[in-house]
Amino acid sequence: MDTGLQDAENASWNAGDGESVMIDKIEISNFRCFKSLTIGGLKKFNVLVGPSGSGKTALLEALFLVAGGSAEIYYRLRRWRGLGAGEFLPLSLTGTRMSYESMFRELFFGFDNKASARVEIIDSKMGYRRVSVNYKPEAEYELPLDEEGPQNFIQVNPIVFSWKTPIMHVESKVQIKEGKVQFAGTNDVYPIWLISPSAPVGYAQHFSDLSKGGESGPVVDEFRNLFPIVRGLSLESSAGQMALFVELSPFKEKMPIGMISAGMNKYLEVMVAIASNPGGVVLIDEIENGFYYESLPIMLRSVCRFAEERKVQLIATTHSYEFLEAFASVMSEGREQHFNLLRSSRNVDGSVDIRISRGPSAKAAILQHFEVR
Amino acid sequence: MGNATINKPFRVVCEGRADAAFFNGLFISRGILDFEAECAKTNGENKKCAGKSGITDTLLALKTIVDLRPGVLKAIVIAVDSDSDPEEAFKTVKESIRATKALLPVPREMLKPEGNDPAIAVVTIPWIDTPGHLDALLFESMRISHSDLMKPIDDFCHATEHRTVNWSDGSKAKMKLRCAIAACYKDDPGKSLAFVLESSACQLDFGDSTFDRIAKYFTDFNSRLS
Repeated sequence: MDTGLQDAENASWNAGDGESVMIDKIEISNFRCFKSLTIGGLKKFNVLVGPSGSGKTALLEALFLVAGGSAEIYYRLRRWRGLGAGEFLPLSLTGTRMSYESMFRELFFGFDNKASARVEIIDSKMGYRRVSVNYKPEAEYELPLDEEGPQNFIQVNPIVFSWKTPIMHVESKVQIKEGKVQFAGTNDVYPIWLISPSAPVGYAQHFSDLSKGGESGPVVDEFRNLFPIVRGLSLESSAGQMALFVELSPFKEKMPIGMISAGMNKYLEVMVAIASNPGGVVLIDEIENGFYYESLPIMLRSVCRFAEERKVQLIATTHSYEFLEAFASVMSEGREQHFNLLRSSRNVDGSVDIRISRGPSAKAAILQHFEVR
Repeated sequence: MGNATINKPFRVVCEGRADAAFFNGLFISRGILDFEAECAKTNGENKKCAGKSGITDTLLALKTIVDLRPGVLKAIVIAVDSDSDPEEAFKTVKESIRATKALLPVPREMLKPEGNDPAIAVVTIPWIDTPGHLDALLFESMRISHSDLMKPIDDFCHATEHRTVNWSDGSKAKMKLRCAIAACYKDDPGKSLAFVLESSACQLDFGDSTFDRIAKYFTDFNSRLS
């Protein structure tokens, strides 16, 4: 399914075991805009600010990638950014090695695909999890370019995504067969959910899973508390697809949630992500999008409490000072030691640095209206 | 609403709006280009100066700027009134720095910057060996430029001694300065000290020799950094 949730159904990690993970440290090298980056001391709540194009989304995508178990993850992220054909759609390559490599060219910092790209997280429970990406030194197979004859082949050094943890090592090659991209992979994934403006909103299925398991009640309760005009939420079929519908006072007929409010939709997506991923990590890109400024504190309070109860770590990006103010005041309610403010910026060589400020001082800076973004 | 930005590498954190206006006026007048001054504030009260009680929150806020925007802020000078005992005032400031929970270096002696990123220094007003306040210093600076006001103000203070006998030196200094300012502004004798100091028509002379020692400290500050 093309959503921001790692498919954890058969994962070695088990949401029901009462344990939780929390990413403590991130190390990235030669990946996208990150030449060499280390961020340590992450907390339960982490908010990342910084100018446009300074790598905020790229950081969330790096975390989503390392959490995965197949090169398909990167291909999916690329599609969300408007690049590349669909997984099962025919490709059109031009007959050069460069055309194969172009699919992953921007994955490497400064387009340097001679060196390996690497993303590693260290967490409180499982230790390290690392993904390395590099091209195999030897050409491994021939790629037919069209149906005109045997002269139209290119030798391909396949790109390989390699995931490693203390107990697992799996390689996922990217091959083109019959004009389609093929990926190998593993179900041993890390419990991460990415919510991004560019990712398709597809949480109806997960709401349905929660509902079937009798676990959607708290999500619905929180939703109704925040939006008192909502009487109920239900899954309905609409033009052959499952969608979430809302019963709104004083109307009798239900409406698709996406047709009512982007804010309601976003809030519900976040809450479903948290409820579906207990003990895991939820990444939210541009968290402020869709929310009315006055509702930010109450929405955030609800999200943070919900995440705390389910031991979910949040890492979010924002451009909004109103969001930061709301966030700082919610953190003032006994959460000061559990949050970080991070800021990304570009260096002259095009690489990105991310710096970190701890809760108490970040709160002071925001509440005294210093420009921290 | 605009957010506060850090425009100079060195920053003075002081007690009140008038103190900040004094330092900013002094810096412009004496060509001290690397410094700017602000009053200490508490969280959520960004429009109100909080005196010494705002120093911890302001230092915490500035620490974030140092952490997130390296190179933007190199040093912070905390400037407070000496009050009756400069050493006591210094001790109070050190407690405020410690209250940041070791996020910032605590100076061992006055004037001398401690640590890096940011370096922290403390200075007391009128000076580190002199009890008193900004008001006393400013009144002193008017002795020559406004000599005609000195005798009438002294006479007034004597005449009202029966009411002020138990006042602190600071309150007495404020009364004198208030009288002098009132006599200088025909349109509004009730102008606040901060307003006077921020005004382009300020009748206080930042070039007065009374301020030389303070100005020299800030002029030479860069050379004190390790």
